[in-house]
Amino acid sequence: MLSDDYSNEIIIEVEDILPGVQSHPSSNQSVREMAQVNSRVSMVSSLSDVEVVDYQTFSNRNEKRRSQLLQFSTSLNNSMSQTLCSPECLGIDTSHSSHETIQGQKLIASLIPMASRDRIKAIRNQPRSMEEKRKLRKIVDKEKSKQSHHIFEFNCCAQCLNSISRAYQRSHNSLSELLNSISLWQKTLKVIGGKFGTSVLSYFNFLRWLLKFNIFSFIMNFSFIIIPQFTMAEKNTLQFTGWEFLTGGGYFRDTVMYYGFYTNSTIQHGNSRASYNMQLAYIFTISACLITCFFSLLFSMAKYFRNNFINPHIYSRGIAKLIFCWDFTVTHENAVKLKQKNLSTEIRENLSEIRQENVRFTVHQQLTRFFAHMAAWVVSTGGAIACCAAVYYLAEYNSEFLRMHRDPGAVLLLPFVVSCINLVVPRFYSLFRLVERYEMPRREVYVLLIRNIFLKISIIGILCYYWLNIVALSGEECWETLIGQEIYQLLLMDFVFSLADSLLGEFLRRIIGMRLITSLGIQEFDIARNVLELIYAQTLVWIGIFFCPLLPFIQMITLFTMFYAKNISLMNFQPPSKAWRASQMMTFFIFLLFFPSFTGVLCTLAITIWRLKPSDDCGPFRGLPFFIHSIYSWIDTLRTRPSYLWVVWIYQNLIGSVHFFFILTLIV
Amino acid sequence: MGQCLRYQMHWEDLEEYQALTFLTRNEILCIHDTFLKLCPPGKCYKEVTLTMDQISSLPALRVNPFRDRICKVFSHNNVFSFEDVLSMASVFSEQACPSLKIEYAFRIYDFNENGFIDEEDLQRIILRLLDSDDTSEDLLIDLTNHVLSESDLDNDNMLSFAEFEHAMAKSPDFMNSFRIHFWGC
Repeated sequence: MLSDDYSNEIIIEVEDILPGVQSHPSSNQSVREMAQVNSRVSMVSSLSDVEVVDYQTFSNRNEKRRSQLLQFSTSLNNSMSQTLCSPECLGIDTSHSSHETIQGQKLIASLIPMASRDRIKAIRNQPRSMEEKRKLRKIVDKEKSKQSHHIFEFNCCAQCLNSISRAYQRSHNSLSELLNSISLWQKTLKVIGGKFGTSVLSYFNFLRWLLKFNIFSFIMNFSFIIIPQFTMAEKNTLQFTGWEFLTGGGYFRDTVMYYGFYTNSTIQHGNSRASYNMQLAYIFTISACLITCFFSLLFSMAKYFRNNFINPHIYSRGIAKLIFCWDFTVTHENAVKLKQKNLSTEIRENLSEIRQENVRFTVHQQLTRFFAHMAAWVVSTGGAIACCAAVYYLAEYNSEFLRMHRDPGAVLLLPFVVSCINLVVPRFYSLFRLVERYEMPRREVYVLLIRNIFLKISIIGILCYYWLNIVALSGEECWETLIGQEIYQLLLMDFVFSLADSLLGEFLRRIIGMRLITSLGIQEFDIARNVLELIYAQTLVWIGIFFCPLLPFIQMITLFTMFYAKNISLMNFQPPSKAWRASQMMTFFIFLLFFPSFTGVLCTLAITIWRLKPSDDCGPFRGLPFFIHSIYSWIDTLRTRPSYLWVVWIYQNLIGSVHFFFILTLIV
Repeated sequence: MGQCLRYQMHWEDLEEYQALTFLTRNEILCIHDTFLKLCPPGKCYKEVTLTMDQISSLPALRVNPFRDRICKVFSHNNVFSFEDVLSMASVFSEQACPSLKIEYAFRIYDFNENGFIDEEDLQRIILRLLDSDDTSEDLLIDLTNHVLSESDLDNDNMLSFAEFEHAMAKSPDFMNSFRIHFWGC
């Protein structure tokens, strides 16, 4: 971004003296010319300072700048013709010391010392026509090549580096273009953006981004764990009934889907010496997936924070923002009309908010509002805790329940209850706004979000607690597969509910809104609720990837289907009425994906690997006292081999030491 | 459709356009296609100019409330050459830098082209954005005053470029909304 700011300096601040120009080892001629330019500029600026008064300075300077820019083409033509006809000097015509020519010369002078990549960037950033940019580029290249004849700068090494960097740039460009061309759903997203604007588009972009994570995890798992396991597969003796798709049990239990099926042996093929240690492969593949997700999340977060930093200034309900930030991406006529209507409503609301700012509430009113808020918070938190307790007791009771009912569908009770909670309680939270009144509608959105997040995170938390403390220690045979099955059931039930909601529920809501109770109107697309559902599902996938390596594949299918389902059901919605701060909310959602979601997953897996005892007769880690012992024993075997001592050293000094993690945390 | 072929564009020209604009190779070729569909048969794309009406009727601009201003700002002598269309698409593309977008947004919103966004400009913007039957004179004046009180720093009742930039530069929503996809593919 540095060069962008640099080029901004050229445009906006006319009177600044450019740094670094004089340090360039140019010929004496151009140094003299530079000095002349600078002195002339300072003379001009001092003149302009003298002749203006106080607050007029700002507008006068800007007016001069505006007229300079508008007449720049003529000045550039002048300076170019001067340069071309007198190749030795930069062609300052001392008789017309106008701002335009000087600015043109300054621009060319500033571009010459730049590296070629920065130069192209700076030229690209100029707000001029293509023809002018082309001329500018030609002049600068000419000047640069002339100067390089005088300076023996380009020795072999620099030329090599230059050509390498150019080749790299070209390959980088073609690679990114290739990736763009095979990018999924480009046309569909464009249509959605045209009809609904950038806010709804951000939900679909988020979905596509999550899909990439899952595709990557699936490819890793498939290549490193599943394919080797296929070569060692034992025959599946169980019967296949149709229930397996919902329950994940039965026939699927003895397939590559679950942890329990994987062998703990070292696979060797025939007489070849190459062996494949399944234990290490399993733990390293899963760690590699999660580490890649970690860094990818981190970089995305950093990028979003950098571009859309959370500035308190943005939270003000400015009218200027509404006026100047019209969404140019909308290309459908109806959508434009709707947007105009919504904008009108929002402007009026903002105006009335601003007027109401001066209204002071009486003590009685303030107390009433305060108690309403408190009551709402108590009810929502209590509701979330009650739901968690219900889930916990149901989970504990589940084993007895299963013993009593032999029906294959009976295992689905817990997932069914959890999905019902996820469906009903957020809508119940939305009803609170009938009781609570917020001065700023924006605050209402954030409070609703926080309540929903708290609900979902506590449900996942309580389930993890149940799985790690009860199921893992219950002494059941193959508890890891049991956990994998439960996660699969939760995910699938959630998917079925979302699908039903998108295709049926929203359709019904539209019919009700249009025909039966017309005062309700058509609903708006609730981005926050939908994104939270995505985050919830992705958290489950990340937790379950250790127990059920095929889960990313299932999530891939889910996300793919949800994209099309949501796309179809968009016809039941109208675009959001408030100017949705899509960029800020995306930053917030990615942060949510990282902070409670991914770090929670890491904690859960860390507890599993370090503290839990693997089951005795199934899975790649059978018989070990802890999962982590596979790594310990591997390091021990490596110690005996002298050629791999560097791995042992890395392990002892980096991973084994506390300092490394401290430094890593600091860097993060 | 004229006799202009798709690959009439030379490789060097394509490279140059890629260097001088923010568009990718595919986007430039798509715009080239769209341009050729509108140009009369038998002429090379470099010599043809399109009228402002033809550009305004492109699907990307057809319903935009500011399409006449966009066409005015990006055209030269009221016609569009191919390079003008490319410059326009480049400014409105996703990869364009914020300073460029702000600069052109200022030019678009400056209806009377005096180098400032004054009250008259603001009123015209508001009338374009809102349903014009619904906006009363009072609302217009009220809104104009609010905008000026928020953004006008030197109290001259107009917004200079620096003040506009200051108001918009910290708004990521502006960068995201000031985008148009011109290519149909």
